[in-house]
Amino acid sequence: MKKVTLSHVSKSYDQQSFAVDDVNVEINPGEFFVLVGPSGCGKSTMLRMIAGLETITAGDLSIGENRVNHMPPSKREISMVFQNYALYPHLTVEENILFGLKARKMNKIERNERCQEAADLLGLTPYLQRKPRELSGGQRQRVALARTVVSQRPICLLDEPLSNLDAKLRGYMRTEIRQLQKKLGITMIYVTHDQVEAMTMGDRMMVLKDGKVQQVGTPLSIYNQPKNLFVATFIGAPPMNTLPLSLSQDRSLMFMNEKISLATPVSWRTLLNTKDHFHLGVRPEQVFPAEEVLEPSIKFDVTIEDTEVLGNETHFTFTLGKATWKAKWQGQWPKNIGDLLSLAVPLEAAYLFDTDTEEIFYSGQVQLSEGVQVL
Amino acid sequence: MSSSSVTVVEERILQYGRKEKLSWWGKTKNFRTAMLYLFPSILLFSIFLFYPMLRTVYLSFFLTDAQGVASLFVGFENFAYILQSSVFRKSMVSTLLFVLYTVPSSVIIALFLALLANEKLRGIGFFRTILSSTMGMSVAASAVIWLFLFHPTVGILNSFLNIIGISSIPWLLDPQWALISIAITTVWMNTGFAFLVILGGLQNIDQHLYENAEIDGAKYRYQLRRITLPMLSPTLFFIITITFINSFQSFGQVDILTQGGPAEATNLIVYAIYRDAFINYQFGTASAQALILFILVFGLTILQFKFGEKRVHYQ
Ligand SMILES: Nc1ncnc2c1ncn2[C@@H]1O[C@H](COP(=O)(O)OP(=O)(O)OP(=O)(O)O)[C@@H](O)[C@H]1O
Ligand SMILES: [Mg+2]
Repeated sequence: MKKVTLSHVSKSYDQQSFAVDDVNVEINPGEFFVLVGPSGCGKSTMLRMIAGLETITAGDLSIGENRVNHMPPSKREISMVFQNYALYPHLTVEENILFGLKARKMNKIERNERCQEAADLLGLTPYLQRKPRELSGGQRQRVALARTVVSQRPICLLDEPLSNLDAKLRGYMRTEIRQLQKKLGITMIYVTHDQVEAMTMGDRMMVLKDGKVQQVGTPLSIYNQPKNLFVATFIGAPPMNTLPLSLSQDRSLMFMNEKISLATPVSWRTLLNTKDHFHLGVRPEQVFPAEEVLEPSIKFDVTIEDTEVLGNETHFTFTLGKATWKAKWQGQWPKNIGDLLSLAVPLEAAYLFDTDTEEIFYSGQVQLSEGVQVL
Repeated sequence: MSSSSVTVVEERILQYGRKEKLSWWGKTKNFRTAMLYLFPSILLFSIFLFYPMLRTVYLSFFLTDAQGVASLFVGFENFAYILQSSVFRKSMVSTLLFVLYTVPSSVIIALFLALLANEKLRGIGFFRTILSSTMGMSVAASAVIWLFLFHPTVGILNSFLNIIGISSIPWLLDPQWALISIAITTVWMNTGFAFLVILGGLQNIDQHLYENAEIDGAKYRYQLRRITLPMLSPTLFFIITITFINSFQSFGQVDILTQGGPAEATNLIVYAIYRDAFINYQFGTASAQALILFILVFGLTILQFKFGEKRVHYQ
């Protein structure tokens, strides 16, 4: 098993801007590594560079101990699943699965053995003689996975493999892919723009934006300690609430706008000594009814603008200063639009971000011990 | 699928699958709508295609005067005469040879050029334009260009052959070479269109298929055989059919380059029809030949569909 190492890897298509900008990361053998970021941030480009389908503009890519920048894709010992599955429409499922093995002239007995195994594993046995167009989206997806299974290569690259499926099937395939990876013990590098997939599937994940790495870490560490405003708002559903605040001269008041202000918590005053502005960030599940919060907190009253009851949790939408916030409470709360709410945010649940750099400079370090709920 | 489930399905169809009963007016609704849309083209086709065709069938049963007016009904005598005529037989042989020379070579050359032009190289757009340029050239212009190239003394082909130490070839003057010369001209003329269509077909193939094959370690030849050709088969089938029919109907290049000579070697069937009708004023026999050509091409095209289409993978 080999690890994949990227050091200072960059890619430019037009020699003017970077699609992938100075990426450094080490992906361990057997790891489920997720690349996540908004559309156009360079995820596919990075994956295709690892696959050898795209040249590397600068930097080094190693698989194991060898630098592989110029190694052809077939020599890299990888398999890949494409977003549109890239199944051969004129070949049957079986021929599709065996395509690579035949190309490499593997003997027939071993070939068929592997095909049987993969088909059993993915429940494709009844469909082996069908053409791809006679399959459902989920079944096509499984054929694409079966191809990587029969290849028995230690590294598998997947580019948004679930984006063509409906929500329910996506949830199902998430676990299926994850289980497959654990069973085979292979390294998977998985590209998605869906933070839910990233959070639920990844051992570790890398958040990308505009070709730059924002943060690398386990899903929980990224959720709990986001490095900057972008990561904080990108990961988590509903996303983290943020609010730009400006400070009074003596730092005792925090203004949401010209009129409305909050008292600055005493413990923050030294922290904010050098700042005029900052962004306050709070996860929706950390916005509580005021009467429930006993520890030091920021308190405010708001009017409910919208409520959504999702079975056993309730989301309230309200406006704070210029920002729209959400609160997520456990249970069913019979509140109406227009009702007043008294809310409190425990100080230890607050994240403070610098307005200019958007970097985090303080987090209350609340321990989310009971496990993070992301859908 | 188990047999029991099939019978359940059948039962269900028997029980509930009753066809809706529609009035005649309701049943023909789709048909009538379609006819309305088709009307303009049916009208044009009728005037310029169906009427002349019927007229040809009619004339083939008559002897005609010099104006082409049917004067004497002779039944199948025109056909009998044609089928026994050595000129017609020779013309048929030339035509079949000509089709054999031109169709495979046109398609293979166009395929080869399209494969080259499909590579992502700098300045490939220039080559794509050049290679498809013969499409924009009229038959007459192309034939005249080749008339110069084939010229026995000042033609560039012979000059070139002389330079590399081969003696001159009497391109259009020798009965052996004339048909080949016409075939070369025709292949050259066909290439532009075939190239463009095949290139379009190639560009329609999903690049991910090749990337996947690349990762799997498939070599170029394997990719060509297992991906490109099957995926291209509808396009190839189309272009083969079109080229095939066009070859049977070649006329302009014969008229300009050889006028059917030397020694009738290039008297292709359409040219023979033209000569019979407009030089010898034998509209009856000309029509009979035209009808035979029509039936032949029609029959061969049907055979092509019957056997060729099995190898075509439509998506
Ligand atoms: N072949 C190409 N030529 C030029 N620019 C490209 C090419 N491929 C991608 N880009 C640019 O590189 C950037 C990153 O593209 P990439 O496909 O990696 O995004 P992505 O993160 O995969 O997005 P998505 O989630 O939409 O698939 C984009 O700005 C895109 O316009
Ligand atoms: Mg992408």
